[in-house]
Amino acid sequence: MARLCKEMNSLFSEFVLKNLRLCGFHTVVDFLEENPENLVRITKLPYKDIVLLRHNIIANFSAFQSSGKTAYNEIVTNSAMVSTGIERLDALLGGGILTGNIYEVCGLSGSCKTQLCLTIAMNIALSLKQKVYYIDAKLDFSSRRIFSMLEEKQIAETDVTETLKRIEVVRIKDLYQLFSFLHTLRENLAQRELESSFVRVIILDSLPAVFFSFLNDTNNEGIALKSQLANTMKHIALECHVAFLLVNLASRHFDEIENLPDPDLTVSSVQTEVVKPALGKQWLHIPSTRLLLKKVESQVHVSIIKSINIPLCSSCILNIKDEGLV
Amino acid sequence: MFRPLCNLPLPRLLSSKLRELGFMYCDDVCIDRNGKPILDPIAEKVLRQWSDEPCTYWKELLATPATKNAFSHLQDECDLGRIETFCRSLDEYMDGGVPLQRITEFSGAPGSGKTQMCLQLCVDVQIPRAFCGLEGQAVFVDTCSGFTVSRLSEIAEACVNHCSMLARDGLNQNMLQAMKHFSKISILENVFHVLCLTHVDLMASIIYLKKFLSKHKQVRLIVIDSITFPLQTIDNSLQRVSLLYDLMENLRTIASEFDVAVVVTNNLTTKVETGKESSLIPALGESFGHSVNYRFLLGRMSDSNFVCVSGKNLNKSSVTVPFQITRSGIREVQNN
Repeated sequence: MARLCKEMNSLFSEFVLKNLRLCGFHTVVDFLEENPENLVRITKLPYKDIVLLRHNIIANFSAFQSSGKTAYNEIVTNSAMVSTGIERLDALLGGGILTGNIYEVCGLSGSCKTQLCLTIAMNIALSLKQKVYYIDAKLDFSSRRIFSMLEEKQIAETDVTETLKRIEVVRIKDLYQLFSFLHTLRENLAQRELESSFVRVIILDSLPAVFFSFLNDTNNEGIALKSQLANTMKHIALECHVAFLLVNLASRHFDEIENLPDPDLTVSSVQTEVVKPALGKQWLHIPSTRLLLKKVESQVHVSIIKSINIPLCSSCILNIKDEGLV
Repeated sequence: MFRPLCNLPLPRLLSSKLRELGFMYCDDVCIDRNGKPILDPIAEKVLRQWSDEPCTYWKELLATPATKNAFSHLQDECDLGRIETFCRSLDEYMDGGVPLQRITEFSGAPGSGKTQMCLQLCVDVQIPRAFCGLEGQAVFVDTCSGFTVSRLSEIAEACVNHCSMLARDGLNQNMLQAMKHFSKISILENVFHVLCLTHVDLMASIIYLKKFLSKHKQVRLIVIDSITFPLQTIDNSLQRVSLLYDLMENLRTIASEFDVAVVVTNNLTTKVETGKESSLIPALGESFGHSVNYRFLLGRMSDSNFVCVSGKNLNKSSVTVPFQITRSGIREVQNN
């Protein structure tokens, strides 16, 4: 809440608020930025009360500092390393998905991004018996695929049902619905934190599906919304101790590399193909770890292209099988 | 954490008005008073200019999409209707045909059977329930004037003949009853043709489809032949992608809301690589490939022999299926 209202403090009477609004002071920030003498004149409150109000507002709205040790203890006690259930991927990620972080899977279309997400969702629901949220923005979630993976693994029928029931799917139409869902989810997770509801991973498939319709926006609304989404996700990740796994698209670009002037060559530059993740440089600093997938026949090459704790360019190869990625 | 107002799909004028009055977050507009959410009187006054019932308007804005677990999704997916293509191996690969509520793309060079496939699906979607069909209607959004009624009636006639043969041989009363209303004319009557020449037409007609479909509840198939043509006239690539995603967003909403299958056709384009021979790939780039659920590439081998390669299918690995286009439409290749 940023707007001044009478619920904030008993000193904000109807009269005081009305006077403040008439002079263009609507929000907490407006109030704090103005010098107290002026506020005394406007609100007709004694100087002492204005100072009290300022202190009160600052105490209620400012962030608290905490020491590195507290932060460390907080992380040690609350974060979890969630195994993806794919041995080679776990080894690559240093044990699995660490809560409090945002992971991103990029790749060209048809490079098994959704396949990887489905496998991870299934593994977490099956072996760790945790609830997984799967946010589906382009109708790509397939229960049949998960069902056939489980069948291929020869899981008992009752366990199959239980596993499927642990995967919660939400279909969103646009970015705004995504925001609505995330905010509701945050409230739910915060409430259930005490009884440990075991939600550790939230999967979002996919980012371009919600963002690309903002691409050519003259007001740059997409950029603002992108930052807000990143902000919301980081907040939820840290506060509720969950990890986000996002799906992003990559596309081919042609970069011209200038060659040294060579009289024998008629071409002065060579075009090379580069595979770049979508959403631009702004999004680059949002995910803490970025995986690039490349499908080669029936294998998927996974390489780390950005990470805060894993050496770059390390990679692994996964096999595409009927039971998912192995 | 507060939700900023700019996270809501508000009209631009309304959001700037609210910002001027100092409303930054949803919690500013809707105040929690003793556990009961109440709209701020000033905000309510502003909202009233946009809607007669500000409370319901506000609730709709904040509505959270429902969650459903994968188990009930599995049941839904198994119950999903499918449109046969009349090519048995392709139907088997697709678990019974082109699925409703999903977007399927057919791409191929000119003359590779894309429009033929679309026309065939327009007929097949109408097969009566007695024959395990969907008994639906079809909307054909035509962007490059490729809709040929004479060809459609040829395919329709073949389909009607096939069904009446089945009914006669099986002496099935239900089937014979259904055949009374299933004729070439009824098939032609149940295909709605929309001609779009520019991308503006296309966008407008897709938005209008929502209204159209709420009146015509029987429609089970929307064909866009082709989606590439009107978009290729847009020079600015960013504008093209954003329009394309707008279109797809609308199509997805329509597909799941009205239980219809969406089939789009796409052209091919040349992919140039240094040091390699250039190859043909579906047009409109990676971003389009990302936004469809199923992708098939069609190609012509010889006179009436065609081939269909699956390029994207989450449930199964890629296959190549040969098929024929005969006078009666798409058919399985007969092995002699």
